[in-house]
Amino acid sequence: MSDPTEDWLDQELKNLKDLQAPETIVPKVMARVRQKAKYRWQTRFFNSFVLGVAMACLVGLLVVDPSRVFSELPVASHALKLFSLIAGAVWTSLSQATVFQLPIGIVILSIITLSYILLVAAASTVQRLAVTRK
Amino acid sequence: MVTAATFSFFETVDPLADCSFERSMEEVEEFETFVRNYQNMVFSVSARIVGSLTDAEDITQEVFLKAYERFQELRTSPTAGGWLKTVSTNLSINHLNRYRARWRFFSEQEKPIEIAAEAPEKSDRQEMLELALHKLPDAQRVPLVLFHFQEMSYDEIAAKLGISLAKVKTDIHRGKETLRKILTK
Repeated sequence: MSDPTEDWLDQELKNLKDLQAPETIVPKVMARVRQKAKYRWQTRFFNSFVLGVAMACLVGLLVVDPSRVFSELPVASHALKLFSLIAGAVWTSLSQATVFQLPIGIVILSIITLSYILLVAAASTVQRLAVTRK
Repeated sequence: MVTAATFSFFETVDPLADCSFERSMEEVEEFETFVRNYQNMVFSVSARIVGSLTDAEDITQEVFLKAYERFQELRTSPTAGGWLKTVSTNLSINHLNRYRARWRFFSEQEKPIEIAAEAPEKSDRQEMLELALHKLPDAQRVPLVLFHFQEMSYDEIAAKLGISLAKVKTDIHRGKETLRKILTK
């Protein structure tokens, strides 16, 4: 750059300091962040709750014969009877059918549990490795 | 049987264990410090690109809300500042595109800029330059800011704004000419 005026302007631009952010920014941002954090916690709690209920239902299905329970209800509707029929068939399959002399329900439940533990362990390892690399 | 050891294993490795409310709140406190450290930088980038302090304030808030989504990575990252700069630049340009029509339209506008009348009497050269920068037409100010403050090359600016390389050079030149006129008055 041979033009001295241009050098001077470039220098002025380079020397410009950061502007002072308005004082309202931090409170506004933090109010929304706190709301989000609370919502995130509630969502995670709800998800884990739903997961727990689903697992309990699966275990309950193996323990209780739903067709017997629902069909014995005095005011069972046709839809409920159909549901109990289907649930009964599923229950029979899960408890009667065997793989390596084990009820298929137990095998499925074991596979689900093992897969979950493996996934959690793998995710945790990857996360820790990523943090270590940083 | 769920033993204490099993429970603690899940507490440390289970992603759902992140639902600890106390941990969330600790993270929020840490994030507040993060916002305080970077707010001036983010606000400056936005204000210089959009040329409006009010709009810059909104954009700054948006940038930090995005940062919060990725705070797990940003809290330990040495490039957090760079990430914030890039996001605030992109959001500011999006803002201009959304609310102020097209670049080509603005680039044709040649309004005279009256800074002296608006500048406070005691304002020094730096304040004058900042004010003049904000008053530049968008088409001149944005490439100039990206070149000088974001240290982007002409090619990168052309790609980012979707304009030709020649136009980038012309707009930066015109912007500097305008600033020079104001400052040498």
